[in-house]
Amino acid sequence: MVSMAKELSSEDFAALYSACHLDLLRYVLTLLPDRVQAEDVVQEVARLLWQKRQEYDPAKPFWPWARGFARFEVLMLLRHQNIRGKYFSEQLVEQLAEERVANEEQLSAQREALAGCLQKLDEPSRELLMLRYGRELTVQQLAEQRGKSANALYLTLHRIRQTLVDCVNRTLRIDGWV
Amino acid sequence: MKNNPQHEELTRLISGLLEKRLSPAEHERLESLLAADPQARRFYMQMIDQEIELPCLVASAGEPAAPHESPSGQNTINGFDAVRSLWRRWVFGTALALGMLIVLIMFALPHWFRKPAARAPQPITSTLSLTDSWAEDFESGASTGWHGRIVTTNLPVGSKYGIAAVVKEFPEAESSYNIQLPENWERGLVALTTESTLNVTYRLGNRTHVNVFMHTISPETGERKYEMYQLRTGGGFPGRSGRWQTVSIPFSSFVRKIVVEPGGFPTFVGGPPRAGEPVTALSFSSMEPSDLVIDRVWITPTGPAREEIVPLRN
Repeated sequence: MVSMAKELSSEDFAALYSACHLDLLRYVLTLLPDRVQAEDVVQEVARLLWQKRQEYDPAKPFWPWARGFARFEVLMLLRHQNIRGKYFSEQLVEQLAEERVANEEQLSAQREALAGCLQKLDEPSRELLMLRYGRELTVQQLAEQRGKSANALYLTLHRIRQTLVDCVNRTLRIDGWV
Repeated sequence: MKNNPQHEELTRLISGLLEKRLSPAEHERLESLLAADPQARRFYMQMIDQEIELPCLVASAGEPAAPHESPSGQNTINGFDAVRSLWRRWVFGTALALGMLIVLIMFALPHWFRKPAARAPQPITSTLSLTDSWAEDFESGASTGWHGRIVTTNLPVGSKYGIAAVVKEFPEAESSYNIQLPENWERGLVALTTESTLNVTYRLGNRTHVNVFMHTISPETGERKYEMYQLRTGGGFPGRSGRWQTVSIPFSSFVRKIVVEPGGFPTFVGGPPRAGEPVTALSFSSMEPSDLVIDRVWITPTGPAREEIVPLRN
């Protein structure tokens, strides 16, 4: 069959890419749990997608096509860097890549429920999250600011994450999930 | 999952992973838990997503901007406003970056197509001919022939790969921390001119003294002989600012190792390299652990008469 795909305009590409940028970051960070590395990979994927845009069939969804590049890039990075022990094995990465797609509906529901759970947190916890995630203060900076040990703050952050996850999962059970 | 005895351990390990606090043993344990249990993997994905969502949610959780008067009578902005401002900057920055990406890739496309698409290591010597210019930016991801470790983070904007110093063992001497160009003792990498310049884009933060050593094929006729040079006696590599910068160093700043007195020890007090001398090896070396990272090295036939350092604008 002769391909009828025409080259994407820069505007079309920007629209398609913008729509899946955050999905790409979530996907890559799942496989490569290092924010800086993950952002580097996403940037490279964006470049590759543009470079290969002539191969994209507009009749098909963009996200699975883009995701394929991301998965390949992560695996290439793992093979190339020989960073076993710092990141996951290829086997686990392949497994996560597959299951991430299969679980997307549930993950999406969990993300939606998170906002409500954040509101239920006590004020000190929300304040801590605001400083850590909103202002991007390091744990060390927070520890100095609050006169606490870094270990104590790591523990507090861990407990807040745990509280949020539990709240989300409780909410989803109520809504019929799990 | 909540009743699973491994649940607490799993969340602690994932939290540690997100904060980059896991020891290799803990990392291994986390990997084994994830590999063994699909529910653990779902939980892990949930926590990863939560980590990405939290900055957005925290930013949008604040009340509408309501500057209030401080005791001094000046308007102040509350914490949530500041966060919202950060978040707006992030969103704006992302949109701007995307726009710039489109523009950049449109203009840079022909150049990218000329680059090798795959990252397969390529023998660096295959691209070398003995000209008066030489360059390596590691952007293929390969470091064949180099002594150093490829790095991919904390590099200048737009760069994907750099090379960091690693320890080099010597059989009868102290080990050192080196980044070394690929050696070519047969032909050399590049032929020097009287104005040849070594250009390096690098970052060096700690106070370790880094020296630059070079070997060349001697221009003297007769039996093949190699010369050894050092960048300025005792001077070392410049600019320990911890920021990315580019230094241009004339090769005339190198001094040759010579024997001054018959029977004496060779010392670096000789003259600079001569025109036509082929460089066979060049290394950046320190006796203590060094945080030197090089993003790009290139040798040009001309350059500034004196050493110049230009900070990189990221």
